[in-house]
Amino acid sequence: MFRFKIKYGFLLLLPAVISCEKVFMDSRPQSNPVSVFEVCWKELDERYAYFNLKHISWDSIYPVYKPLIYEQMTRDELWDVLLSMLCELKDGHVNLIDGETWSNRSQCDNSPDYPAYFDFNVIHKRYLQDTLKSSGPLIYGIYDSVGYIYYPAFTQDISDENIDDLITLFKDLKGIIIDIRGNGGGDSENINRIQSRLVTQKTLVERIYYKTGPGHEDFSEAQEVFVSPEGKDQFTGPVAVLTNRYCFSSANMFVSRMSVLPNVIIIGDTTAGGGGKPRFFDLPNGWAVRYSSNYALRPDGLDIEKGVPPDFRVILWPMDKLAGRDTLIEFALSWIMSQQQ
Amino acid sequence: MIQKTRATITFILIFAWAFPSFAKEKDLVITASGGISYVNLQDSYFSAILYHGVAGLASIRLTTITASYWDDLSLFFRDGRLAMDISSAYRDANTHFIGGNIHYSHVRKLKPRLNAKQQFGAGGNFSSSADFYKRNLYGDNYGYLYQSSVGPSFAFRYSLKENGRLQISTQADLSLFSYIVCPSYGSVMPERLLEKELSGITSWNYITGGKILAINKFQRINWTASLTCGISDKISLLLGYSWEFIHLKREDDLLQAIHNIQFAVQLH
Repeated sequence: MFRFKIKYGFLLLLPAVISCEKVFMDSRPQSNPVSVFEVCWKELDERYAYFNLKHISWDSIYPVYKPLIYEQMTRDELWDVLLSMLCELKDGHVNLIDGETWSNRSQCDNSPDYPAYFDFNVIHKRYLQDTLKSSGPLIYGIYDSVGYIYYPAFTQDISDENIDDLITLFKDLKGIIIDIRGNGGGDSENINRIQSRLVTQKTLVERIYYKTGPGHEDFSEAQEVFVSPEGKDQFTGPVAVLTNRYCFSSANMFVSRMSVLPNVIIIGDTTAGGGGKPRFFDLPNGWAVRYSSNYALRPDGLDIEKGVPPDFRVILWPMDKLAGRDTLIEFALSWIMSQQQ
Repeated sequence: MIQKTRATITFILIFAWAFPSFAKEKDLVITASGGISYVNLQDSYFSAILYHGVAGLASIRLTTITASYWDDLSLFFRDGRLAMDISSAYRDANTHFIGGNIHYSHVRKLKPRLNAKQQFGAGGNFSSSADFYKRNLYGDNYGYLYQSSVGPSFAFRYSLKENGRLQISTQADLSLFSYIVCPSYGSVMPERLLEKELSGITSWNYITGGKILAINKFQRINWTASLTCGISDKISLLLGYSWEFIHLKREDDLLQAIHNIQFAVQLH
């Protein structure tokens, strides 16, 4: 009888132990609007990286938006309230996501509007003409013994071969213009792929700080980012990077890291910022919120979230565009020529 | 004193290792199985929602049975898709789940008789697993957990027939101490890599970048139950169920519960 009890008692322990799973997992938040709001606010409170750098009091934002939330509100109403709250962060890396529908910074009332200072048709017709070719996503040409590279989006990955071919082609030219106007960012791995062909020694280009706890000041020590020479050839001549207000995220990071190099100047407008690596979190109703989860500083301490100012601010006026001139390229060409003496 | 203690421990370990090989009767069993896993995942690192889904499962196992112990080495591999446990979620927001596991247990029989009808055993286990959750909408924002842990094992086997051809087996493996590699609070990198030069981080740094946790911070339970039916002296069929439960206690807890159903062929 005793053996019988042990035998079956042992087997019956199985469902008892498995029920632990339910106990733990059933403690997740509800999917009603109040819960969604609370989870969203708390997630950002504990993990968003820029409260202190942007001088935002997240605690004071809670009582502004919490009264607007009620149990019977529709999904659209909830979306609007959450989006308004997220707009307070003035961060292009902050989005509300429902599947493939993403909110964006331009939907915020406090989103500024800037001119693009860019028209590729002008560049094609006046400067590159028949020399225009492409190597992967990189569009390139040669004008007046200066190499020109246009990289429209860091979301389009470049290969080692893509960039090596161009550096070999441009190796003996007077200089290179890298045009990233309108580049909205993408994969930061592409930054290193380009930059490693423009340095001759290991160079410190950035410091990154990660959240280590829920407090607004809980950050790790700096993680240093270096770039080292890679690829078949290195280009050591003058390099001009053309920017505008639409260079965001990885493009912004590219400009920041390039500005550290001694043979590089930045021409155009201040970049759009976006210095933190974005992170995603699922809200209880199936939406997700994306936000900056760390911050990065240039080695001289510049907070790149606010954008990287150019060395020379050059504006492309509508009159110049009508005249078929790109003032940024003209400035870059004259600077490269001035570096030849 | 230290040398004596070291010599005694060495002797015990060598004896424990060598003794079973003197066993006169030894049964070596190779088990190949396939099945499905039902995965429940609650990873507060990236979601307030429970994920669940089904994964295909393949495993191979080598078991040594003697009069005094059971030795079991198994390898698992699973691959599948998880979805949010909520009807309003975007239906294509699948998460690719892929994982593998190496599990070793050594269980000493408490009443050592090879063909006894009812057998209990206790021993220890080592388990090493790696699981990845790649969310298809969110780029490189993935979740992962690598764990290696050791702890006690308890086993029970009961023969329904006198010849031992129909047998029920059940075993529980627990963890006491674990080595864990998982994302840190604010980054997909483990905590120890946050201050390391970014371009110098390798896969090996990830593997060695974890931390050792005791049972109060990390719990793992593996429970298996199976019915074995011998169809000849050399071949048996096995129908098994196992439950794997992992709880990583941190700022944002990770809970993973996997139910496996396997059908296996055993070669003796």
